[in-house]
Order: sequence, then C-alpha cells, then structure tokens
Amino acid sequence: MPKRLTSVSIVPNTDHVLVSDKTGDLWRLKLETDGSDAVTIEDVEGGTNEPVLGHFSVLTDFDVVERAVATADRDNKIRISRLPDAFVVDAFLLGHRESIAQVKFVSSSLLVSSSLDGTVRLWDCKSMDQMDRIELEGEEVATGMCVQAGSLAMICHAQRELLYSPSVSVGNKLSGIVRLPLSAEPTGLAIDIRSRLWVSANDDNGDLVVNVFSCNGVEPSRSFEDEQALQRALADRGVAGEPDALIKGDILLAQKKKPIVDNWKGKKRKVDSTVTRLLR
Amino acid sequence: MASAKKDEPHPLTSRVKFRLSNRDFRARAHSNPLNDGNFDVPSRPSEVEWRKWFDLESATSEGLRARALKEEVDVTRPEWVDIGCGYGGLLAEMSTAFPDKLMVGLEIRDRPLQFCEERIKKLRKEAPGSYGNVWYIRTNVMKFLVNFFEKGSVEKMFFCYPDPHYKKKKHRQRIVSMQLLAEYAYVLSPSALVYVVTDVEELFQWISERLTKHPLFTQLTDEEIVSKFQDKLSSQQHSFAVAKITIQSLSIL
Repeated sequence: MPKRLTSVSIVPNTDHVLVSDKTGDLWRLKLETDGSDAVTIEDVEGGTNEPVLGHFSVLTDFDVVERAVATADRDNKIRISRLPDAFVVDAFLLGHRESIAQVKFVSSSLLVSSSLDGTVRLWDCKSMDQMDRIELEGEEVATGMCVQAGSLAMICHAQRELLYSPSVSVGNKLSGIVRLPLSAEPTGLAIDIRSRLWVSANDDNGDLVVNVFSCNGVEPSRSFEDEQALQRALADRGVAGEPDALIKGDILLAQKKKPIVDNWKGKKRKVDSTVTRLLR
Repeated sequence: MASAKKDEPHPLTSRVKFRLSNRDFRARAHSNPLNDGNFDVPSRPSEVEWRKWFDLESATSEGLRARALKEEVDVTRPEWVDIGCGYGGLLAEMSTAFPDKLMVGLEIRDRPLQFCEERIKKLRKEAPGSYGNVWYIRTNVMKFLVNFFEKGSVEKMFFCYPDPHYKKKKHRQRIVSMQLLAEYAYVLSPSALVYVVTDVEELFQWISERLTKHPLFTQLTDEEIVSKFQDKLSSQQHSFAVAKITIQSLSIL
C-alpha cells in the first residue's frame, strides 16, 4: 500500500478486507487462502484498484456492518456510506469538536464514537441525531472500543479502568457505566468468539499483561483462570511485551490539532502547547 | 503605482475618494487545502446563522422578504454555491440578475475574501435593497462543505476556473475528484445542476471524466438543458452542464 495505514477491518460475511490510510482513502483487499493455515492478502481482481471512498483528511478509524461503512476523520466528521455503493453517502454525523478517535456500530442504525474532545457520543444513523453524549472526566479520550450484543466496552488512554455500558442499543443511552479496575494501563481490547473480553496492557516493567473478562449480565467479571492459561500460553510461545511498541492510544492522541497563535510579528503559526508553557 | 487611497480627502476639494479595487487585496493563487488552517467551522449545518449574513428584511425583492418572515430556519438557506469564488465577481453579478435566490461563495484564501466582503457591504450601502442575497465565507471546501449545507439542499454548484494543479502528485488536491464527488452529491439535491468552467484543457477532460464515471452525475446534452426547465427529471441523478472555452493558440517566435 502506498501510504501508512490507520485501521483495518474485515467486511462481515465476505472475504474482503477494508483498510484506511493516512491520506483519507479506504481500500478494499481480498483474503486468499490456499488450503493450508496461511492466509494472504491480495488486491481485488479487476485491475485498477480505486479507493472505495475517501475523505480529504486523515482517516482515524472506521467500522463496517453488513450494508454500511462508517468512516471517521481528523476533521471531526463521521461519514456513513452504503456498501457496496460507497459513493452514496447516507449520513454525515457532525457534532464532535475534535478529531475522532474510535467509531463503532452498536447496531445497524446506532453508532458510538469517541473523540479527542473527551466525549463519547451515541448517534442514530438514520436521523443523524445525537442520541446521547457522555463527557469523560478530565477530557480523557476513549482510545479503544468494543461492542458485543448491544453492550459497549471502552478503555481510556492512561486510565487503569475498563468502562462498560450494558444494553446501549436497548435504551438508546450510554447510561449505567460500570468502571472496572485493570492491573496496568491498557493498550487495546478485543472480543473473542466465546464473548470474552481481552484487555491488553503494558506492565510497569514493559511486560505484556492481559486481563480477561467474561461479559454475562450487567457487569463483566474477571476470569482469572483464563488469564493464567493465557499467560502460560504466551510464555510457551515466547511472546513478551515490547517496551517501545507503538500504542494505538498514543497515535490517536498525536492527531490532535495544534493551536494557532500569533507571534510577535502578527503572523499566525502553529505552536506546540509545551512551548507556550515554557515561554510563559 | 496608483493605489487606491481609502477614505482620504482630496486636498483641494475635500471630497473623499473611495475606490475599492482588488489590486489592494492581492494574494497568491494557491492555498494548500491539506493544511489544518484556522477556520470557524460550524459544528452542524443547523447551527449556521444565515439570517445574520443575508440582508433579507429590507430587500426590494418580494420573494426574499417573504422568506425572511417565515420562521423555519431552512427557508433562509442558500441554494446556489460558488466553490472557490476568488474575488467574488460571479456572485456579485448574479445577485441582481436573480434577486430571489440566496447564494454563497466559498473561498479558502484570506485576502480575496476580505475584498468580497467589503465589496458586498459597499454595494449594499450604495444600492439599498439589493445584494442582500449574497454572502461569502472563508472555509476549506474539501474538508468542511458538509458542515455548512444540509443534505440535498444545494440547487446549483459552480466550479469556476479551479486551480489546475498540473503535477501528478498534486492531482489529489484538485477540487473535483472521485472521492469528493460523493460529498458534493450529498449536499446537492436530486434535481441540481453543476457548472464547470475552465481554460485548462487537461483539467477539463479530467473533470469531465470524473463526472461521467461517477454514477450519481450525468451530463446533459444541449436539448436536455433546454427541456429541463420544461419537464422535471424523474431520475435520481444529478445533471451537469459543461461549458468549454477554446484555447487560442499562441504563436511562439
């Protein structure tokens, strides 16, 4: 791919993979298997591979459901386009004040998005309305989101907590948020086939630590047996934490736009906030 | 150099000479649309206060006055959009030709837009009741067009002499591209028209190719353009009319 990629997702019920790059384009690739365990990614047949759709801005995240794709960019916009006719835009969800960090479909018509402005918003894709909005304390950014059976799990950057909101799609509200402590600062989260929530974290020593939660009911509970089994399996395979690895949260936070101030000549320029603090 | 001296009384007659000229608002032709920039971007189209910019109550046109009286916000939305309006000449002329229509020009560069604003204010003072249906906004169209216009609200869209961006690596910054056409189609209504004018042949072919290839746009033949205003098009597709200016060949010594 010609440019750095920002996100990847498999289109449900197909063998296509969508990737977003930093120029704002969304590309479609195909998964090929040759019978063995190996899977390769190829270009879609048909010669010239044109982008599926494009924003004129860095695509920070996107999510796919059966008939729609939601793409979010660094200019506070979320665009819902049809699949496979991605040239038809069904909706633009506007309202965030800063670059979008994560976007996820809760159902085919409900979408939840988090942004660098410290809010998490729930949208109705048909009417383009904001259904609900929560402000995270201290303008924390939700850098990882996972949806399973209408419930939402989130991790915030540099906060040792897992936020869980059950039954988002039922009540159309992000209420009843449960906060669960984590053993280290989280870096990512995912859901497996058996509805267990995995949260990866970097220990203070730089080791990889995984907390496993089972999500049955209102509050997910930590499953220590699964965690121990996982640590043993990781140790057997020699997987250790990488202390200098790029964390998704850091990359997302780096997308924030720098403030523009006038210098002594009156010329507007972008200033790093640390510099302004030092100058004072 | 004869520059306009604004608001300076002539020494003998003490008559104030005020000539507004775009020579005083010279600017570079380019402004990189990829830059973040510092624009006042409305977070939603419903939050744009068009009434403050358009001068509707005192308009001589009855249609405009009637629109001002209506309470609904979307009645005072502009229907015609000039993308990359430069010094605003097109809209200033069209304003008196079509006094019932609300139109807005979008420009990314600072100084030409200052000239546009000052000229409109001056024209409104000199000819009260006119020019209240035009305004200009400084914004990055390629990023923020959808922040200003609701879905399907634009009736006419003008791309007049867009920046050709000759080099291949700059083709991405051309105002008409396959990716952005989806956004333009989003703000355009199904019966809208798109006008493209350019004097660069390669750019014209590029834009025609993109518009023809895009499933949501069709090209109108001349007969269709005439008949369009007699029967309504029933299809969901937008139409675009094309103006082609032939380049006169220069003889090189």
